[in-house]
Amino acid sequence: MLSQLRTTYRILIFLFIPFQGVAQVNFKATGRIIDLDTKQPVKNVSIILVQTKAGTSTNDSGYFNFPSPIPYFTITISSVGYLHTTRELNLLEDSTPLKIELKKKANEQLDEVIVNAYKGTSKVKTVEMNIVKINPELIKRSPLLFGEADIIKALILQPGVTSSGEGAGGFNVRGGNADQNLVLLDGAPLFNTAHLLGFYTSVSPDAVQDVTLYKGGMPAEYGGRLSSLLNMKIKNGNNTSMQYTGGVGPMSGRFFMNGPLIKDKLTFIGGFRAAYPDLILNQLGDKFGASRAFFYDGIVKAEYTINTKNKLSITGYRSYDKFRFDTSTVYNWESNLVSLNYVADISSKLSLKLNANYSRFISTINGLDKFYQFKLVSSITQKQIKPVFIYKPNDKHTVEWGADYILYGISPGTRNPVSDSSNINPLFIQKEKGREMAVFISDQVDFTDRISLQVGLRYARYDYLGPKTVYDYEKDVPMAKETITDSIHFSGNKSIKNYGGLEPRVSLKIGLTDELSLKLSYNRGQQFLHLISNTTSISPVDFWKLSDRYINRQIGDQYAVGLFKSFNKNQYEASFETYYKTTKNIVQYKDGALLLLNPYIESALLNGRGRAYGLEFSVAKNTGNLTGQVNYTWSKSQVQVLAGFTSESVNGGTYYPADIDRPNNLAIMMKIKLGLGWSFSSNFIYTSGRPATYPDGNYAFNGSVVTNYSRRNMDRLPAYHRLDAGFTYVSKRYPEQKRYSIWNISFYNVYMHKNAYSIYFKRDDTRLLAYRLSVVGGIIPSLSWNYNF
Amino acid sequence: MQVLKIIIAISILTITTQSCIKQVDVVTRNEKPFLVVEGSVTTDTVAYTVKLTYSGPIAYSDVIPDQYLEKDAIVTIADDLGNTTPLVYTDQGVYETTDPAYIGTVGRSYSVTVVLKDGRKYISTPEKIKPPVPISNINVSFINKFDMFYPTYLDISIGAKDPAQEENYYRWTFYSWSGRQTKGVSCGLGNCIIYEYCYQKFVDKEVRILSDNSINGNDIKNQTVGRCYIYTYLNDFIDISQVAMTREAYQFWKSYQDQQTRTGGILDPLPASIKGNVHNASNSNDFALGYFSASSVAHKKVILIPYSITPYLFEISARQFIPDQFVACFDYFPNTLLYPPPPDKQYPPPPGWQNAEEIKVYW
Repeated sequence: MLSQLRTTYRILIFLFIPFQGVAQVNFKATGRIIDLDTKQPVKNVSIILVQTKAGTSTNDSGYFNFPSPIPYFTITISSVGYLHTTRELNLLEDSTPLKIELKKKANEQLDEVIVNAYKGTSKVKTVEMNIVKINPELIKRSPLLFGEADIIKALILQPGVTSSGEGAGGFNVRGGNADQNLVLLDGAPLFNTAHLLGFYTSVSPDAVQDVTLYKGGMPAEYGGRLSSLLNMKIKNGNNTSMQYTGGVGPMSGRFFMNGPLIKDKLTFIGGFRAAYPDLILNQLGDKFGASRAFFYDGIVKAEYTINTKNKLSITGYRSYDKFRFDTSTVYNWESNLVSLNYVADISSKLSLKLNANYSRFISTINGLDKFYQFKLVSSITQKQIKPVFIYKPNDKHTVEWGADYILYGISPGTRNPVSDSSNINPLFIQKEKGREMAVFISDQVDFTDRISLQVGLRYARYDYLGPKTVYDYEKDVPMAKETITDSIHFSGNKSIKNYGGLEPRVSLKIGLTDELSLKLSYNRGQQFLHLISNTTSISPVDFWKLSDRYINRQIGDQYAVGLFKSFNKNQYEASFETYYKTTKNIVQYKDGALLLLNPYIESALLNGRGRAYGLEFSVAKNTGNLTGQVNYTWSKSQVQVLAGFTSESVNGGTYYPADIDRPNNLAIMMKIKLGLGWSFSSNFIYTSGRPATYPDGNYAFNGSVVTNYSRRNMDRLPAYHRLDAGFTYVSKRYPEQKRYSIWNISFYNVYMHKNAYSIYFKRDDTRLLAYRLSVVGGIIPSLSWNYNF
Repeated sequence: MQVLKIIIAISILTITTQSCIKQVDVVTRNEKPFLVVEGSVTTDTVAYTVKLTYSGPIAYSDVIPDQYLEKDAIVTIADDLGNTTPLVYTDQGVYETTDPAYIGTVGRSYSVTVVLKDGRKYISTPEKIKPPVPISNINVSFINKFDMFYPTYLDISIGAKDPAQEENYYRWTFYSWSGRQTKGVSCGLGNCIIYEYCYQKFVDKEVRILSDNSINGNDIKNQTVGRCYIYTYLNDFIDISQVAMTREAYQFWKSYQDQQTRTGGILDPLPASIKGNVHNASNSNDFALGYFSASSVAHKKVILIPYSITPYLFEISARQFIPDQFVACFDYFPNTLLYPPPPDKQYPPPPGWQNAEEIKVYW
């Protein structure tokens, strides 16, 4: 009887609202959402008021609040990986803050979402654009190469993201170089993401909670790289009981554990992956010859809940690689980082996020030749502290501001002989030091349900610091050791050169209908750090260089427009984005110049600029037995070398295709639920070959016929295409089940296409023959097993 | 661990050779011909040559089609004191100095000027001759490795002391007169056979260079400079040149070497034109290919006596390279020296080795 009355009352209220003309904000719902199992807060949960279609989402601590013009209403609560739930509220009767516990979906249900973190909060609704999110759990259930789930391999299937080839390190976003990606692990930067020279990503997806890639217009608190931000958040340990995961595949074995150390206070997650790639390298043969390799990575994270409003976490990570190419050289590289994160709710509207981190990458080359044994070590270190304040006066308005302080230290190289009989002299290249200080503010306002604006501004000032001796060069001639006119010594921490500038970012969302929105964005970035390389992909002989007197900071501008459409209650989503990018001061190198261990490195480098543009289409089906995504990108990326002297110009000083320019990119992914825990998934990839330089004539010299390559990147490798397929079996039957297995059976390169990693030319007496090097030439089946207990 | 075994077994058993290198057909572009300049001034008392050719569809380095030879240029070499000497055309695109008194001097800079028929003028960036560095010792080791293409061989390496006070860039060139053997021709009745043996000239084409960047002031040890294949019992007469060159010349040869050893792998530098030091005098964007260098040379001439070759090794390693027909050695092999027939089989050394040091090579 009472409920009938209530219903009638509600209907009456709804009837009256339109006549009142203006929706008065009289009521406010507040609450917190936590995970049913772990009792951990759940952030970014979407809360939609059914009657008015207004929505909000929870903050990092799981809290939400939103105003309502009516006291009775229904909210639907949804978040990726959790079951949807609805609540009926009556604020007249009960206005105490809500506490809602969300139940995790069983893993099988999770499979519905392949690559879509916006389920619930549709892409159509958010103001952000240029974003890709992937769920690391689901990578394990797609076709794998040698049984290894890999984050960057999953990203490359997304529009606007490419790599320079099979087994090549790094990734390229919208025609940007691999060193223009800021890769963060719980806020700390990773300077190298490659295991096994790039075959795998050095972060195991087992430890990662979520992966977000900003293809431009990264939030104002981030800076320092032009192309993208790859933000990886490590999982928190659960607060209920110890959980373990172990797995084996043909490439590696892994073990992870997480749980409470002190109930409700301290949780932790830790794990380790170690590889035994020699088994496979032996099979790969040609590319790696008599190579031997080994790698591992490990991660530990602890989170301490000081009280409901203060939380502290610490993350530690290490990865190590050893690679022997032949009998003469061994490469080692390792990354180590520690990141401290503190989150405090100062009031219900104001919170603080503080991050302090230390990250170091060390690369070692060991020369083993008799009489010439040496060890060459280079490294980069970053120390950073960054407080961010978040002020949310209401759910339509968020202001964030803060400061960023970064110290960079680079040791370009120290070489030492390693035995008494070695002829090698010790050599030490001066260390480099740089400081980046930034302040930033951003403001997001939802003007109406349909129009939102996000404005951000970051000001960064960079100083190249002593102690260091720098050189003056003769004017009007190319820089060389011989043209040095003077050397000046700067003492410790004295600014040798500074650069500074504003980095504005603007995004505007206009909802055209409920299911269609238009987004516009512009952003500018600055980059003070450059990776010096003369190979196409990231390699162990690359090293980092800071902007200095001669090497200007890189400046990038990007304009983007996007259209986002959802159909059938978000079952289908489609998006179209287009962008135009320009980059100033990209670092190029002179042909044949000595890069590694060059004390006069500026004399080996050239200034260049780049431009890139493209169209990205994506259609996804998010729910049902068949889910999937089709992504297509058309793009161009070009560079131009602005040499002061024609003798140093490339291709006559005109724009030419960048090494990473791959105009057509198509990726089709699909997954079918077969029942009884089985699913079938398949990926198809088609990418234009990357630019190459083919011979365009030959001549006689030194009694041999020499091939001439006079025009850089004027040719193109054949297109890359590949089909992968795989079956996954998950033995989990109900959400609470703790012990279950995940089996993955994968077939990589199903139709055995021999994709070209490169084409190179060799002379066979009288003819010049072209040889195609394929890294993967056949079908690669693999089986891997993960067990949770 | 049973599971791991099964997983690895399944994954690996089915993989055959996955990575592969295959010859493919590729359509390549053709650029307009570039002038190619190859020449040098050294401290040797010889006629200096400058070879002028053009780039194009050239198949053999020694048989260049006529239209790719530049025969009508005016070529002069000049030093930094203004002393010039003209070169005259000989054959196959080669121009030669005629003044025997024009010899490269340490400390002087040299450049070449090429004026083509159409008036285009190419000049090289002057190169200064660095002081020579002597070869201090020679090591020869017998390598007992052979296959159907090559017999056993002697590996020749040198040692030198790198001067500490300056940057040094080295290049080694090597040639040898090595014994060859045929079945010879009949010189009458009975078992009389002549012209079984001769010396064939082998020029090492491998680019062997070294920068003292990492070893400045130290000993250069075990630097391989060449090899002599053992085709018969005769001695080898070798000439080692240790060239002291400029940094620019070293960079040129380094690029040259990089290009000849390209493998398409992950550490390959991107292919590029080998930048030389010759360009159009009025348009610095118009480059000629090749290089004109000025360098000093330290020579070493040695006679190698291979005691290491036993009759058994000769049978299994060298015998296969003796042609199965009665033919004179100097007729059968190219680039040979003609010698009078034995009786005593004591062949005189080639000119230049009369008083050379001898090294006996044992197994």
